[in-house]
Amino acid sequence: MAGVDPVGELVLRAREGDAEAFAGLYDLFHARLYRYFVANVRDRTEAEDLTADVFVEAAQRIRAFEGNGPAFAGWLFAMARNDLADIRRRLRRRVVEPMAEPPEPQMQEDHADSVASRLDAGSILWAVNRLTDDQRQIVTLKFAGGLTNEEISEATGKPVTAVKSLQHRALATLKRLLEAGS
Amino acid sequence: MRRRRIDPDVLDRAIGQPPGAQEELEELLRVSQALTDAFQVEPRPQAVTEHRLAALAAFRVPASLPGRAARELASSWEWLPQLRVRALATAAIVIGIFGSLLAGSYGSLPGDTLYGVKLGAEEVRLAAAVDSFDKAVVHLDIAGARIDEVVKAQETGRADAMRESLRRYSDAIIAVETELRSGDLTDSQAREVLIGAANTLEEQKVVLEGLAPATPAPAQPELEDALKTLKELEIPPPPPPGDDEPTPGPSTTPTETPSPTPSESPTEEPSPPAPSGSPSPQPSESAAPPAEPKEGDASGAGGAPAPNPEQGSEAGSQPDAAGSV
Repeated sequence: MAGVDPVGELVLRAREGDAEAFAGLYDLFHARLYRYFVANVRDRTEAEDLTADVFVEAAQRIRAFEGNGPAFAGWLFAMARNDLADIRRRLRRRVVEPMAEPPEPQMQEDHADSVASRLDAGSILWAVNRLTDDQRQIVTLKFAGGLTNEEISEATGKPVTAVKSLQHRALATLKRLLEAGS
Repeated sequence: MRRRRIDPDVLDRAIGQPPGAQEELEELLRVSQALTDAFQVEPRPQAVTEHRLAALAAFRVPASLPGRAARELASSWEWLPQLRVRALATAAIVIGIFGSLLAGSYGSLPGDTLYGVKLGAEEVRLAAAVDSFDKAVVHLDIAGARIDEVVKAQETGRADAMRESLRRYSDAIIAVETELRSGDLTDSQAREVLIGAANTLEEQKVVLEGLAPATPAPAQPELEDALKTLKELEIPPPPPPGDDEPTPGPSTTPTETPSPTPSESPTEEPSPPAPSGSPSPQPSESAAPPAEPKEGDASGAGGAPAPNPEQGSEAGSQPDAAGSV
């Protein structure tokens, strides 16, 4: 099986109308896409709905998709990003807070040095929420969606070097935020 | 819980750095790992399966259909949310363990090396189904998989595979009937399942009938047998809507398109629900109510000010609902 790209195989077959191949792609990407949405909208029910919408859209458009396995991941998440952008536009019109704020991290007096001490999920999400849009997108695509830098490049249209740079800056910012506590 | 590995690019950066940077990079790696862990949330298994079937329904819609029609077809799968968690969790574990093997088996046909893997996965899903409801749904999904095989086998000229898949298809739909008739369904479940099953089987019938002219001679008997089995299926009629249901109005008054024939009385025909996959939105002639519109689709419906009992439920998409991470 070495050298075979299972995603690419499934994409190829799905493009030809093989429903089971598309089901295979669904199985491979559903949880990743869902995590990406959860990381961005926080509400799990809405994340489920958004994930379902993306797959319905993908099901309708995959026959026209021209690309290999890595490109497919980028294509799928690009649709997800567009849906998120639509939601944000809608929310802005309603003058609602863009994203629910997770609770601020508890200060821990005993661990002066420790980023590690602040690395609980609540703190992380609180810090991620303070990144720039670009940085947050890269971070959530990377760590929630599980995309490689190449796939993120496909999804965002940014060069891989820019993706790496944004990622590095985002991590550094997160570290700083976590060190600073609140 | 499975942990993803740290990004190799980050690790690369850690190698060959001056000693002062080492500590900094270790911190970044720790942040990376914490990020990965923080986002490790799993979707509800029931949502996974529900949306999987919706996506597959959309996939099977002819490409010429507009998005909204595809969504409506997909929404005909909304009767599945009650699918039991245990069955799906088991299937998810199996998929997790044998993921790559399964991925390879998805498109296999009878006679292929990996076909047994596919059948085995189906057996696992069946074994994990806890009641008739679950089993009927799984058998129906299996029948759909057999239809896909039949289509593929015909396209690739594999008559033997086509025969085998048709035989298995007949078995699957008989199993659907058996489970649906086993009688341990509650009324509300039964209504949704029976309507959904009737729609699906009707769609499958249309597909098989479409294949008939080009089916190779060796597979004709199996095709005829499958169609005969379909016609002879005795799916119980759905019970009337319960008191708690909004009763969307299954043809109490056929408002827009009065039937040219004055005969209002139900004929002796079993009247299965009309296939919802039909490209043209014909008014349903059957007793079954049409698939209920999805909330998000309401805006594209043409703006008719018809009373819609679900109009007020749009708030379901608000991000401030419960369930935050």
